[in-house]
Amino acid sequence: MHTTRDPDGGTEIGTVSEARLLSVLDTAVDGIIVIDEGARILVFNKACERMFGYATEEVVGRNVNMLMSPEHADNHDGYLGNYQRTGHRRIIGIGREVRGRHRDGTLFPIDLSVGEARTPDGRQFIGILRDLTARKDTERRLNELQADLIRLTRISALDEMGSALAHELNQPLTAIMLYLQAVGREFGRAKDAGHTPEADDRANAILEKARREAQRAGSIIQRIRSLVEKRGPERKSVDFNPLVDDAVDLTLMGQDRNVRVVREYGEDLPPVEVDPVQIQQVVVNVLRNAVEAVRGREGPQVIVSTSLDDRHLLLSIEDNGPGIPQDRLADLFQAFKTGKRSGMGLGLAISRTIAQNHGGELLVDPGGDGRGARFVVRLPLRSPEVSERFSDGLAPGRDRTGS
Amino acid sequence: MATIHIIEDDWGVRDALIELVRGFGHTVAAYEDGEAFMRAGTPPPDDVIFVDLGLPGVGGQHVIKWLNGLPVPPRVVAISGRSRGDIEAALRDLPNLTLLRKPLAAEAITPFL
Repeated sequence: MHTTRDPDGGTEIGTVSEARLLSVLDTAVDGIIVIDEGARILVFNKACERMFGYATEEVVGRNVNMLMSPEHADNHDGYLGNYQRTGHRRIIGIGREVRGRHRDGTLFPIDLSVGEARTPDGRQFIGILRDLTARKDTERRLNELQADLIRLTRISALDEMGSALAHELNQPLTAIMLYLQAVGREFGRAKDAGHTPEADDRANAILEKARREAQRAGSIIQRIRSLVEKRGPERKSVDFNPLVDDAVDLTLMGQDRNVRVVREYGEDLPPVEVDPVQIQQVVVNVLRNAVEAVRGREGPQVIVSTSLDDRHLLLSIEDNGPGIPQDRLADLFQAFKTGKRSGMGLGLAISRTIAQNHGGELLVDPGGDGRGARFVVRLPLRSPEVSERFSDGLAPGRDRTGS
Repeated sequence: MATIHIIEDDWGVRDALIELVRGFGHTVAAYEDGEAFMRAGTPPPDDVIFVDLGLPGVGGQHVIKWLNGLPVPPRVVAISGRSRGDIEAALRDLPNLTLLRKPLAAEAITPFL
């Protein structure tokens, strides 16, 4: 039940207009809290009771910081005093996402906007609160589904590369089998003719080469596994060029060696904060398309380059194929639209989503008229979560991984 | 004495074939692409040529056609790690060719040495 007290904290006020106001407050879907200059709660409507688990009687007259997360609660009186002295606004008239503290101690996300009113009893501050828990849960679920979809398209791409990867694994396996056979013959000879240091050295040298081929097979498996394994999205600071180079190697495994792939990596690039596997997925998708576009053409060539502009790292993949026809351009990044015989038509759609999730973009110069297509991945040097909006010292309630 | 020619672009496979064939006491000549092999001259009829189909530049099937065009062609054994579909496409007009698929066991090679 809603209660309002006069500034002396005593008797209830009960005019008709007051009653009307109370009914409006209690009917509101959003939480409404009014506090005085001393941060004492004057109004706490029904929606707030549901949101925080307190009855109105339990909170009216108490400091509003009881409803805040600890990091805000400790500083709130200071913010209020500072505003009254200097007029410097941190939240009034602005609004932001903060965390509220439920009666049971759990913290939950709230969208809070604050207004100010001058009354005969002094300044009062009115907060409108919207519980974001459900929206946050939906966002989280959406993020999980998107991560699953991104991983599925990664597996789909590897599936399409399956025979090329099998061929790539066949090479070291063939070498190992032949080396082992060769060394077996060396042992057979030694058994017949007696050991000699030269024969032992020869056998050891062959075994060493077999070991190296086994490592090569292992590193191919390792590369494939890192792309297929189920894992949550992650952000970490990585060197861009080795990340790109590794993905280029993976893409070219078992591919047509007649396609010349030129790597022009910029020097002294700063590290970038990304999900490494997802960025490699973009490289694999775009580079596979480029290799396919030049196959069978005269002097087929793809140039993979990295560079830097003011605020971005850039990855460019340019082919000397026929370019992208105008009529394909409109739906180039749309899911399930494909001009190829195999695949689901998700590669470019997912690649653009990944770039955008990183605060970046995937752009295309379609070429044509003798020029090939050029795709550019642009990634911001600063992580997108570090927003200007929160640079005024008040910790945001935003969940970094959820945004 | 007959020479065993190995045309294979993968270093590991080429080297392992060299080790194996030498172990049998044969003379080996190895090449990393078809151009190098053809530049080396015409092989005599009693030589044996192992040729990978997926060579860069001039493909393995072109090398085989070149050999088949010789007055007395030497024995040719094609090897490939590609899928069956790719192999059939490459060998469409080479019907009677001996083909070994990777991974290769030594037992598959020794009958030709």
